[in-house]
Amino acid sequence: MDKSLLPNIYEFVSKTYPFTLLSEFERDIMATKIKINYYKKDEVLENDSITGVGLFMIRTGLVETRNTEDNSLHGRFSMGDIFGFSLMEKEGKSHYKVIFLENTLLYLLPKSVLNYLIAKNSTIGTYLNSKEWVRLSSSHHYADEHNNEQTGKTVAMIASHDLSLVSPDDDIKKTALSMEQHNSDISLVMEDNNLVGIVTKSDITLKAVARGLELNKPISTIMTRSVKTINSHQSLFDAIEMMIMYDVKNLPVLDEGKVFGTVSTTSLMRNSKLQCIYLSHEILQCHEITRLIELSSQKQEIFETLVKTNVKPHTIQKIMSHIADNFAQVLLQMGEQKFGTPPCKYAFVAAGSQARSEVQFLSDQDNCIITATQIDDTQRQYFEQLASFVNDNLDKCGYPLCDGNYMAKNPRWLQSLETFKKYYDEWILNNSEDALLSGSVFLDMRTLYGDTNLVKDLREHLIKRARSNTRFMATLMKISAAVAPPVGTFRQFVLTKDGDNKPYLNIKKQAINLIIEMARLYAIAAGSTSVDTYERLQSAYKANLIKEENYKELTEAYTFLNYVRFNHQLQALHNHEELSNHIVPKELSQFERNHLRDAFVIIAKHQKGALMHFSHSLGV
Amino acid sequence: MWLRRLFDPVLKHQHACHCFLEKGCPAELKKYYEKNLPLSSAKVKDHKIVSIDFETTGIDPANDYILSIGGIEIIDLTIDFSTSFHYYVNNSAHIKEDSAIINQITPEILSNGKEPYQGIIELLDRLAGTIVLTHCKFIEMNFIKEALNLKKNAPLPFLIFDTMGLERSLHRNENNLDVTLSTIRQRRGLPEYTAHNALVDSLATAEVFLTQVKDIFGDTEATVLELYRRS
Repeated sequence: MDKSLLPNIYEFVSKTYPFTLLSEFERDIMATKIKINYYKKDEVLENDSITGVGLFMIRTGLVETRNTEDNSLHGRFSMGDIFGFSLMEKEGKSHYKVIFLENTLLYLLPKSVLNYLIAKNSTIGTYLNSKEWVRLSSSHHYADEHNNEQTGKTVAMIASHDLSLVSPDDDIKKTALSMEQHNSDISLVMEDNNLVGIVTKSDITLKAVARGLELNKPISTIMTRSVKTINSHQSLFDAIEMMIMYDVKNLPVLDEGKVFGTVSTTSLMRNSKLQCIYLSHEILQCHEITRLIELSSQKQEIFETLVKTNVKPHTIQKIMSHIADNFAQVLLQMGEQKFGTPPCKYAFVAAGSQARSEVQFLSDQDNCIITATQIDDTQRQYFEQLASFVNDNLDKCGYPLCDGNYMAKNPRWLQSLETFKKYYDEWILNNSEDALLSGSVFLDMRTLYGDTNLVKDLREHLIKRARSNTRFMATLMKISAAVAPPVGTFRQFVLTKDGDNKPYLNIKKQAINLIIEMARLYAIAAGSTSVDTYERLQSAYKANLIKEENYKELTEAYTFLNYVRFNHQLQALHNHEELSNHIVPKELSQFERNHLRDAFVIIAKHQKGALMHFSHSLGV
Repeated sequence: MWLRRLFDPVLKHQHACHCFLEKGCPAELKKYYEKNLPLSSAKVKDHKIVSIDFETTGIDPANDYILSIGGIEIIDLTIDFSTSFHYYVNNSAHIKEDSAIINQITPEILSNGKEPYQGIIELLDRLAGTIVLTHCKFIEMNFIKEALNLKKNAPLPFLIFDTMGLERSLHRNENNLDVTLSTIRQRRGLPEYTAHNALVDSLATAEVFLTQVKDIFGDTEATVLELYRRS
């Protein structure tokens, strides 16, 4: 049939996500199989009139779904919304009923045609899956995912094959000549076709020439043996992340364990717009506060580029966190120079989102100083000076002072390891919600500078105590679950569990934090010291606390929520609006609405499960 | 029997079809009139309803011509897109250029269409023995009769529902009721269809019909007689 004859239906359907993903041919097939029904206000559908028939799409009107069991609100849908995913594979009884709040013209996409589309088109196939997390996983094609052909360049595509290869016994001079010949900044040291080390130009300058080493010595005397390498199929962003993390400018590329080529910062710069590699490097080289503040203005550009280039939210957070870490580290170096050698071993520690490497554009600073030993007044004076110097200058570099004063310059959070252990013991034993709320920022910690053993010790202490105190765990879960995710968005409102309409969604408080908090609890229960939300969920899965599917659900939801959050922040930056975690539903696309709903469903389900899990062990 | 026919217009039409079959029916149309029509007591949801629409050059079958025919079926009170059909009718010889512009249909498109008589016969293949739905039934009925060379008072081998008549029956006390399809849709909160062709209009009519059925019957079962009577 000629689709120009039914332009309205075609247009409506083809503009509605996920059918935008279909080819023209597939869209034609689908549009010609639609069935149309009309329902009056107050009509109700349930059981086999809605199970196993297909998906429902609202052309005009208003629909509410309520759980059969307790009549609680399940969802509310208006024009363009699609519902019925979880009914598709059911037979007979439905777990919710459909109530028409207004006269409604309802399109049915029959199961037969959906099955056909699923068979034909794998993208939409995953979207039409009845499981929320599978649908969520279809929502993104991040630039740093390997299977994305359009935007995901792999390291293999840009690797240089003009390699300077030497053997461990070749002398330093020969190695230098080889580098010149191949116009390369590094030499790969090979033995029996295996990479055993690398040498950079600066190794030759600093380790050989500067120290007066004879140039006929074997290169093995100055080569770096523990080589960081990258696989050829990894993405450019993986390479960038590694270069930032390890502060190196060249990486050997391996393909199935064999040397394939090298990538350098220069080749990466040519192939991507990312200057974050250089920013990190420059921060660490910086000696002046004014210059540091200047550099901090680049943060925004980097954030924008990462979001625009469609880099995975997890990678964005890691890169933004790393940059934040670098600022703190260089300030501590400057501080130590300014105020002299510290009087005892200590660690400058990130708490909250920075500890979890989840820094984003809005993050303020949460940190503390842990000293190895108890400090006297003079020692305290030193650390207070240092802390104020770091905190205040971080503020100038765009990491605002913390409203709750969770900062090292607050004497309460400048304490010895022993005192911090006592803090934890108090929180765990007293189990008061107030104390837990005020301390929860410090349940996540990561050393930014100084002695890493202190935090390690402290975390092990926390996990040991917390794990064995079921009441503490249950209370933490109860506090977290006191905030419920919304049911969904509906027209210009965010719909809460009680059926209230709110003008905006606080994506951090009402969704993201809820996953972070569950992940933290599960990780503690699993005995994991990790502070990364993804790793924590994985450790929970490995410890059999949650099923593999639960792990996938939560990570997909978490990734998607951050994706939405970052894209809305990018939008706000463009419009010169103040950044916030508030999202106004009218700014959400149909795509985002559908998937947010899936994410909310997942969170609500897991809150229920986690509450059971942690209160069950209480014996209640 | 005749008494029941007096009060049952469905039965009356069925009878007229039988009579026509006995006397006056062209041989090639007989098979259409041999089909049984739905009973007046039948449930509407148990019968196929075919919503149709013609694009024409005007409203007078003697001087105007069909340009295209479109339709879609309603089964179990659900519009089923997979049943939709649309074709052009080759009346290109009669088309004035200016009217072609209005309808967005050019003589070239038409000359690839079906021959007029054949076009209507193929339509009858779909309609005979069913319930047909139109908006303003006289236009389609008269054009069909003209194309088949039937007299004006000859019966057609199907029952007909008319959304215009149904709408009037729901607003009996309003004298100047606007019953154009687009106004009815607007009044009933149905989406606006900007494009017009035989298929879109048959769909638009079918949607209006579904809303009218709910208005007339509410929760009770829709029957053929009531709708036929109001049409």
